[in-house]
Amino acid sequence: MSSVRILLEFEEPQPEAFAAFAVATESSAEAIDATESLLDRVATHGVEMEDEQAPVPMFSTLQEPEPMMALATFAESKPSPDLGSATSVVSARVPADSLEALEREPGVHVWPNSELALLSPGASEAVDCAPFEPGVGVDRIQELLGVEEIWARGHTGDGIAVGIVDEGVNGDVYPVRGGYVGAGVPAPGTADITSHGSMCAADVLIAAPDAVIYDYRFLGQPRSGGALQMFQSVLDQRRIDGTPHLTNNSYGFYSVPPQAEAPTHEIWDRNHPLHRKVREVIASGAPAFFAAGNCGQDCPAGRCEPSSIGPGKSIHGANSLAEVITVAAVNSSGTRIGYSSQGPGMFEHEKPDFAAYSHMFGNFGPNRPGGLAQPFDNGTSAATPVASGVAALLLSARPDLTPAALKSALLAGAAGSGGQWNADLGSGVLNAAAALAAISGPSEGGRSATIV
Amino acid sequence: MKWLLTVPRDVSLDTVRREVESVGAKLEGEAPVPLEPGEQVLYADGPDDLHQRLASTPTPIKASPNSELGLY
Repeated sequence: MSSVRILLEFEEPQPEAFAAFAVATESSAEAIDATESLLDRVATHGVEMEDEQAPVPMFSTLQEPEPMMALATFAESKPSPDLGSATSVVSARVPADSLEALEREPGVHVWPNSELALLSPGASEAVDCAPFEPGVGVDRIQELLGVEEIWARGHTGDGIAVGIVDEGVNGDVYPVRGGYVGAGVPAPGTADITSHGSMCAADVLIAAPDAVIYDYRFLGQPRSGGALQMFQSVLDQRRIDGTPHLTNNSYGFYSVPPQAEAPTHEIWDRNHPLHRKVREVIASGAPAFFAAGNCGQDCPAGRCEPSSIGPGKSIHGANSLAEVITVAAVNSSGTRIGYSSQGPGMFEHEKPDFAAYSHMFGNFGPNRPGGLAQPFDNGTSAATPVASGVAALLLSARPDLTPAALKSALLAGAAGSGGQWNADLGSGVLNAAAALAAISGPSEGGRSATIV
Repeated sequence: MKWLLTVPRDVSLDTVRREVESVGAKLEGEAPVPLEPGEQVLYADGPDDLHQRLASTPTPIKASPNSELGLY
């Protein structure tokens, strides 16, 4: 009689589950004892232990599949109290003809225990996918970016305004000093603290704590026409006083329509009015940072349509224009996060331009302004304002940098790709200190351009 | 379907409105957005093949989708 590999989940709460798991993993004997005590309940079905692994405690239930919020405190760098588990899972084998009867057992749930495959051995780097590595504090990101040595020279993003085109920023917490004002439109700075735009604001300030924010808020469902209006507002303001100095754009498309059916779609028409307006704003001296997108091959976001997943299909629209700066996402280990969209870009081949950090406690996380509505700031949406903040920092040191010169500096300072562009990380991972160094050496004419 | 119409700035809005309505679309209320050099963008609602229908109007009107975006 053939048997099948299964996972058995027992609805049996375990107080102080971390301590119990630690005991069960001390030795094979302890693991066998713990597992057999559970399997005894279903022994009449011929269930046998699959291996000598300890039962794994689960902190959610089938009825409430979201992990308990108390787990979020584990992200802090201090010990957290033990927790009680809701269920325990063990690996087992069961005769194939007993499976149906086992599935009818109360208080027990049968799951498949399927084979897994290793990721492509030829991959250029590891992938942080599911489960993601834990988030880190902003101080760790600041250290990785090398911003403190720039701050020590007196440059902190002061005098630089970053325009955030998004769903709105909370001005009670973040320094909103301008933005789009129109009839029937909520004033800049009035968005909820859990808004996506507030997350972007928090992440700009990681590298440029004294920068200010301009809030360009989409109305209702974001559309290219709304973005067009926001970029026009940016241009209007720049005309008046030269601000904002750059824009952050953490949005885009999740599907790619067939070109034959939609040849004028934003993804196919490089001269769509939005793209033209973006180029106008850049031409006015304000670089535009765009997120690469969250449709990487390895663990694409749930909204990604198959047409928009993976290399060559996931960076498109304005996000892939040659003139913009396109940002992929890595975690604090410098590992590409598996949802980060991959090049080549659908307009410009060498997209993304580089990668920046995501998964940190900026707006969201333990003791952060946005609380635990999300476990940490995430997505290429969060990586992009980190890069925007670095740009604000560089601009506070060198206000004369053109968008092209700024982009060159950021590319020159990126590391980890061996000096070659690649489809996952572009030119590598962003580093503020290295970018500044790239524009601080003697000029060709012998005049020093050193930052002081 | 939502559309963005790029038209020469020196053509009156009344003229554009008549031509757009003649092919089954309507201009919407948003303020025109200037585009350099010498054009502006109007907001419209119309049939899915509006870009093809506008090919025959006297005024050169380029129709581009006004598509939904998602936050990343």
